[in-house]
Amino acid sequence: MALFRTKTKEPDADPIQLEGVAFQYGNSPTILSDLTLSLPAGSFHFLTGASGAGKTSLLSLLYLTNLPTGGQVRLFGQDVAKASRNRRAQIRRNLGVVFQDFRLLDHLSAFDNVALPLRVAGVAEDTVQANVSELLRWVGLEGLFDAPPEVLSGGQKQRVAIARAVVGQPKLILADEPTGNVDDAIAERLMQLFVELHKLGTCVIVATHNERLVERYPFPRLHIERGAVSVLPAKARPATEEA
Amino acid sequence: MRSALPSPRQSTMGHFIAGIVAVLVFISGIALTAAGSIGGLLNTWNASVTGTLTVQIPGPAADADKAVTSALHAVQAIDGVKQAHIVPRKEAQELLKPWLGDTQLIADLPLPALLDVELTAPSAQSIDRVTAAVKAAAPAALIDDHRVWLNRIAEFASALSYIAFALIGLSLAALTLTVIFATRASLTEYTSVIEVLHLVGARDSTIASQFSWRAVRQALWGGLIGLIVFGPALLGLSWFAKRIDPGILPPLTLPLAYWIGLATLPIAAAVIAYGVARATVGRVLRAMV
Repeated sequence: MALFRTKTKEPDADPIQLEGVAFQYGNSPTILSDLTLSLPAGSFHFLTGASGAGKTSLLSLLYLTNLPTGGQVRLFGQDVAKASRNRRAQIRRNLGVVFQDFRLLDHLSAFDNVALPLRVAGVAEDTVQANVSELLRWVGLEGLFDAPPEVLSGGQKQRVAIARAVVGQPKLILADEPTGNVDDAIAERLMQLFVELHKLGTCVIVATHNERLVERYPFPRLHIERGAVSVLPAKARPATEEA
Repeated sequence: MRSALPSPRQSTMGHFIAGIVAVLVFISGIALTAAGSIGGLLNTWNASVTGTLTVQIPGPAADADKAVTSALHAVQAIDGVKQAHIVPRKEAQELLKPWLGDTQLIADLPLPALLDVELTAPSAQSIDRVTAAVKAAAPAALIDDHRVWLNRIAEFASALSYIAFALIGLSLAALTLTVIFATRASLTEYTSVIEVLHLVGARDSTIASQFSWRAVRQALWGGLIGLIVFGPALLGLSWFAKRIDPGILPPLTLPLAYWIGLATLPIAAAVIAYGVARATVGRVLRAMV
């Protein structure tokens, strides 16, 4: 789509670098242990694993809701545990996050929800108007610009959440079950959005239980099992990517 | 950044802060008026009474009148006495009429002979000299330099002033606690808003500003309402004060500092609201990564 014309500037360091990362909540059992991996700019991975395996915990470390209890999480070359609060805010502006529960603001319209990251980043209002309108049209929400989330269906909310995550053309997209509430046609369209951003240099991680989705796109998988992550090859044939 | 918080009209906490601030500004206004007018009254009384002495000579009218005349002569000879005059018995009787009515009783009362003395520059020495001269001329004379009752009134007035200022302090303390409570309550109400703003990269200062400027607007709005309601109350007070005899209650004059203090109340409320809201939100945000 025209909105994402510019190729994302290649960051100096890999967007995600994990070194011996461990995580647990308080004194509860360890959820993640000794994770070491590095994901370069422009990579696309599915994040798979059984429920409770630690997918959401790993994502929470990457979108900076939690800090690791061991090891080092580096985003764009910056150790997040040592970064100042303002620096972390700056890192978050390079992230686009799609939550399973959407986390839309109920008192804002669909348009204003999507516009939020741009306004926080201080983008000029005419650019905000143009980009948000185009993106909302693209995800099929034309005519619902002023609708508050409470009148939207689950699928429509999900599209608003995805539009909010990608509107700033972030360098890293973390999506937790982004196609869980939409039909196949819409799921396809939303995946195209991620694929397009990935082609422009954005690092994308899509956590999903949807085997059909994983089989359809030729992207490798980060598979979490018993607190450890292994990188598995794509299930789909590369030809699908060109389709 | 455009506000991501619901507009005040959607927020019950907004009305709550404005309402409490209005009440507290009203109470502070009353307290400030009390403090301001007590100070003014005291100054008026002080100015009118300091430097005057009243000499009373009790006893049968003929003896007392004779003694008061010698006291007058003795006093007039003293340096530092501006003027002295005998209060005519008729005048003293007139003063009693409002209390006792126009009856024969007044004429029959054994009123003392009265001598008013005004000093050029009131000091303990000049009062002592006058006292000595009066006592020499009329040993039965009682001398009242008004200091005792004036001191007592001054002490009472000071106590009232302290109470009034304490009331203002308490109002501001209540305001601070209210804003802390309301901000915390609205933080609970807006946890999701704060989390989302935080996640899309808003800085702590940006998020805190959204809450603190809203608290400032609510406090200013409440403060203005409090002042507007206080206006008629002040007019009413001054109307009642004017109806009292000026001899008992001189006209109320409120100093400039009072008016400045009154105008400052909503601003003080806004400053407190800003500081408290910012600190409270800051603490909540620091608990997030």
